[in-house]
Amino acid sequence: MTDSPHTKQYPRRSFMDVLEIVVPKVVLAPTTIAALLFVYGFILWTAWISFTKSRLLPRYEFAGFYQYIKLFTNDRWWVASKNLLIFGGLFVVLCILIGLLLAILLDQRIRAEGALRTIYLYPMALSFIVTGTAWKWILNPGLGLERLVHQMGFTDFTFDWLVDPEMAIYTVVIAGVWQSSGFVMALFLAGCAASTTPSSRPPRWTVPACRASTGGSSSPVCARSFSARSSFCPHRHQELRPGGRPHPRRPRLCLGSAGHLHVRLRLHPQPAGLWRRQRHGDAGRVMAIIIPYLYSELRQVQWIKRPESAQKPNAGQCRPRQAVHLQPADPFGPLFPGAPFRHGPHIGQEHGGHPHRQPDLHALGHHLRCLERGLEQRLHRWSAAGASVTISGTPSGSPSRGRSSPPSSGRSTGTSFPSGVFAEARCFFPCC
Amino acid sequence: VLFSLLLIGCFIPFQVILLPMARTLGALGISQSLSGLIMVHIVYGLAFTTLFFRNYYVTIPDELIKAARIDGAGFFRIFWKIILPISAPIFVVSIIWQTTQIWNDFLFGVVFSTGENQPITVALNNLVNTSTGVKKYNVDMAAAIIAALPTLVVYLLAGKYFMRGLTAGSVKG
Repeated sequence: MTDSPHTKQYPRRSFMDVLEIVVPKVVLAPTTIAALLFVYGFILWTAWISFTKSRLLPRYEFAGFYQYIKLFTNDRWWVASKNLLIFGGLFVVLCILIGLLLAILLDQRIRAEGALRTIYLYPMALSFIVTGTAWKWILNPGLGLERLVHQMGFTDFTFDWLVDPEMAIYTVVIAGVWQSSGFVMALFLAGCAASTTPSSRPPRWTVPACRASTGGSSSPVCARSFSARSSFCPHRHQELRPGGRPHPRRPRLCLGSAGHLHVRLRLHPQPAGLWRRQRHGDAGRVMAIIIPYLYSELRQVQWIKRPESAQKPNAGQCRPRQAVHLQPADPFGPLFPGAPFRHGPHIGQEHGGHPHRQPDLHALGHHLRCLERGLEQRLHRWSAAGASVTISGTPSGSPSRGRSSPPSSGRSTGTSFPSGVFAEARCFFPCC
Repeated sequence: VLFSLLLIGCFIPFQVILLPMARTLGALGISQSLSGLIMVHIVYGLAFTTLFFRNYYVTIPDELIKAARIDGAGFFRIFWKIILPISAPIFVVSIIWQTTQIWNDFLFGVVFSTGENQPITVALNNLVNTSTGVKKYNVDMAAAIIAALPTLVVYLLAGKYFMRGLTAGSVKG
């Protein structure tokens, strides 16, 4: 009984309230009616006519499946069905294959990506009639491709699918695929972009090799990022120690004739927050390379090639933090075939991109033992696999490095390789 | 439910409605005329444009509408003051999509129009496929270029929106 006065306090729905509920429906009504009438009504109408005795003009007398029997006994119907099957199957398969290929190739952060995408997509804006007309000319034996090749001197060349009744359907496939594969590419690209832009979603493309778990790390990272610490010690051999354990192989990273790079690895998982911080926007951009460093620091990798005069004043001493960023253009490197490859983004600064401000340095520890084959080559391959690679040096003085003073021979050849620099190889695999 | 009903309108092959549409246009007295063709395009463009706008509006946060409602705005007030001002992109998408679709349309043009009411795709087809007389490839190719040019211009000027229109149904749908 205590409720009843309470409920009575609710005002009755006023006219305006009712209007508020009704109005959206009223607004939507014309579209709904049109759709019901012109789509569903007409479909039913067509279906109904198909069951009547209509010939040229509709005669609404029920005739059962008479028209269907007539149709299915018609040879041309079956020819058309077969053609549709050939065309549809090939069209779908080829469009997806070519579209996916184009999308993958376009998604490599290549130059003029937008322009290429525009070009590939343009056929979709064309009318089928225009496409068909143009391809009819191209495939016409006496006019297009065949004639062109003949005029080039290859008179044996024949490409007469267009006039060959058996092959004509494939010319339709060619034209259709030409028109639509760009659209399929755009769909793939759009789907790919949609999968990376929302910050909560994990990256779609992960490099399988770095998918191993990271102990307790809950980060949705391309699952494992490591920081690899390597100490550069010219003319000294030091063992590669992943996780502090001595590595059976001795890495010798030759930086030219004067120095060897010796690598000591320490692996530690990456905190989740870092990934989140880095994942703003496009993931590829996040892991991107800081180009201003690329040139200058790459030169510093090749210390031996630089004249003494070109050295920094503190050459040979403890080197301040350095960063080397390599990103060669070598898509689908051997390391991770199929891994998304990105190169050349002039971005990264917006994420505090300077590596000095990123205390956590990542590397793909799993692959770091390959460092023995030469740092540059290795980084090249990492980068080819889509990783951004950073080597940053920290001031030496860490007890874990080896002998700090380089032999005099190294200096005499002009190497400015710092005497005992802790360098960190940073490698990160961007995701799509 | 209504949305999926409309969505089917985008995917039906339009051949299935040709005959009833022709009868209807005949009954309305606008068969083989330009206004009949216009009506056909309006009716079957509705499905696409509704899809576009719907997909655009679902991305608008509900809170925005609720806040306006709390402030006392009614349906039309919300529409005019909130929804419409942020709808410019989807208007562009719809206009471009419809422009290219109608320009490129062949089926409706060839069925529902004759003579001087035919759209350019039908005219191009007729021109190229005439078997009488000497083939004038220069004329044919000029016609093809003219038929392709407007979409090219639209596409170059507003490719981003065109792209959005193409992918509107597929990604967000």
